[in-house]
Amino acid sequence: MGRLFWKFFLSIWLAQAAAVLAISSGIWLKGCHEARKTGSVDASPATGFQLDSAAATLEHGGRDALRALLRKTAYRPLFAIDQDNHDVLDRALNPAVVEQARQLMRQDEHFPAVRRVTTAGGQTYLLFMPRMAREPGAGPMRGPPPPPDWQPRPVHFPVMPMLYAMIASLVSAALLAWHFAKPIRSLRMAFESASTGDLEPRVGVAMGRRHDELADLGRDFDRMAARLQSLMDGQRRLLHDVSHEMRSPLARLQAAIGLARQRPERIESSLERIERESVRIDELVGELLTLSRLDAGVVGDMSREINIGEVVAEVVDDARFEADAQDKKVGLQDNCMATVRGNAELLHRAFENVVRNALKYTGKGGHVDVKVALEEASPHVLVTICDQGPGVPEQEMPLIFEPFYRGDSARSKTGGHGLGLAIAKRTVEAHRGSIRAMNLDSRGLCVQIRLPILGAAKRQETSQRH
Amino acid sequence: MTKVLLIDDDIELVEMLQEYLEQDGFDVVAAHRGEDGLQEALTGQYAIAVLDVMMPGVSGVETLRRLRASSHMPVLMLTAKGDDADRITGLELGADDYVSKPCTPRELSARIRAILRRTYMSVPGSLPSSPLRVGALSMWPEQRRAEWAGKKVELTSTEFNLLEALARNAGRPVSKGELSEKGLGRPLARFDRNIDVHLSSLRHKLGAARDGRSCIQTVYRQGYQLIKE
Repeated sequence: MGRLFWKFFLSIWLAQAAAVLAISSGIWLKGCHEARKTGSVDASPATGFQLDSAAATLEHGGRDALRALLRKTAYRPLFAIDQDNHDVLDRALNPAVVEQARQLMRQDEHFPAVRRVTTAGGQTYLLFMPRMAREPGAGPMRGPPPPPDWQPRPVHFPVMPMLYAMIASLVSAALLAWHFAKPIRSLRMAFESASTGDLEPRVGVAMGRRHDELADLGRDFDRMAARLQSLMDGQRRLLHDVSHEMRSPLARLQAAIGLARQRPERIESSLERIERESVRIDELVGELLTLSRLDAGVVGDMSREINIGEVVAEVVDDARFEADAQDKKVGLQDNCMATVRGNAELLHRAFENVVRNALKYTGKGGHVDVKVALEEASPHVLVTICDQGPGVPEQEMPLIFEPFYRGDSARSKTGGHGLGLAIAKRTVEAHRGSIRAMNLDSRGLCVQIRLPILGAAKRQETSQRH
Repeated sequence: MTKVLLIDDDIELVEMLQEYLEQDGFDVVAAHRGEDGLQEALTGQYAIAVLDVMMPGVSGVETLRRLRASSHMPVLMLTAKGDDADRITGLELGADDYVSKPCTPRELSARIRAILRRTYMSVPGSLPSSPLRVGALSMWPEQRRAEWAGKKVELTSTEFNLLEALARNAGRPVSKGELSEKGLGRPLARFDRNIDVHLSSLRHKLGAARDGRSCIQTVYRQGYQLIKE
């Protein structure tokens, strides 16, 4: 059991113990107070009859008759006090009790436990019955002893009930503390193993069927761990791929250097190769940097208003220049005016990557079709780039936007590093758009980029440029 | 001229290596896919195959597995640096040695020569002599043939060289450095698990000694020893 358990346990238990103590003391004090309030004057209904008969005797028979009656009958002391506080039988009496009786009389003429009687001789007597000793220090009282069956009820401090309550609170405090401390303990263990790199989610299982904030916290932790795990796996894979990808140009570089050494007379062509490889490495590093910036959310100035049609047209113009050399064609169909807020450079590169990719997979004499159109239902612009290449196997479709994915045929060609589409995807997502790819029924792959547009966009007359 | 088969998917790299090796006196044929390479290798006209482990489609490891099913030709693997799993799988499947990529063409050429030297030129004055006999093992180094208890044992050339070195010194330990020189034709590199992997597959191929132990014993800090009964 950890410290938390003991803290919970002690504080809960102390609170409960204090409550039990307070309630018990309250009850006890109330008992004491009530006992004191009635004081020594017996106010029980049974006294009324005795007082009545004593009062009648005194009123009609006089002082002596009362004396005779009291001597004869009263096994419980009944006092009759004159103005000078003298009892008719000259019994000693605690002055406090007398004072209390007088006070009760003053407060309420008809208080049932006290009678005032004025005799024929003009003497005024106060009649009352003192209560039997209930508490120590009630003062000495002479008179016949109480019958053996009469027991005074002392106001004891309630020790036993309090003990039971304490034990019950001990158990409930322990249970409650355990209930709180257990999930926190399993959370802590999960954090500990996470800090050593083990991100296997497991807190949710430890929570069992629990449904409260702590269980939610555990499940949130599991979700976080799973997400971190997948991110870390992705990073690890990326690092592995990067080092592997770096190796190919480096191997070619070393081969070229070896050739230059072996045949100094052909150094010129070797140097050319070395230059080409170093440019490739530079490109790869540049693309990796772009990718990691996009991943980290460093996207530069995103506030420019960009005419998508213009950017796409620029990209297509550049691509046509290359396509002409390879006997391929690039067609552009743009029938709208769409403005997007974002980073023009990034968007340019994203479109360029997709178009170049399409061009790469399209065979000689084939053509790539680029289409810009507004979406009917929502304020989005759709840029569709279709090639006439071999397409992508359906099971690999979700992978093509992953870094370093390359189709079989792309691998043997040395151009490209498999980062273009990954960069395009991240760029589009940074512009709150989406990108997807699908195989065409006929042949080839279609990549569709969907971007949210600014304000009202005017539809233009279809302008086809070829 | 010695014929070398280069199997690697990196066309430009293969081109350059081909040029280099040809200049070094080899006759090089290149294949860019595992299937093509396998087909070429199985024609039996090559002295050695250089095989890249990382290839799309039929991988280098798979190509090696299929090649070893019917051929004992020497194979030099090109592996990614630090990828021990691939390397060990390759050696277990019967590759003779590996070079990690990127490598200088000079190193590649030297490794090819080392393997060829011990495979084909280790037979001085091939007089058919009496076989080398140690326990149940009989070896005819001139014919590169080995038998265990009268049954033919299929060995790759590296395994054969290692076993020969052990058999010639049967009954006493042979150091790993010596085994590396004799078996792989190069000094032992630090942390090189090559010899261990080859010897473990040798143990699998040979039978047990009479007392049930493996016939090849590891001698702590000294090397390996073939039990002489």
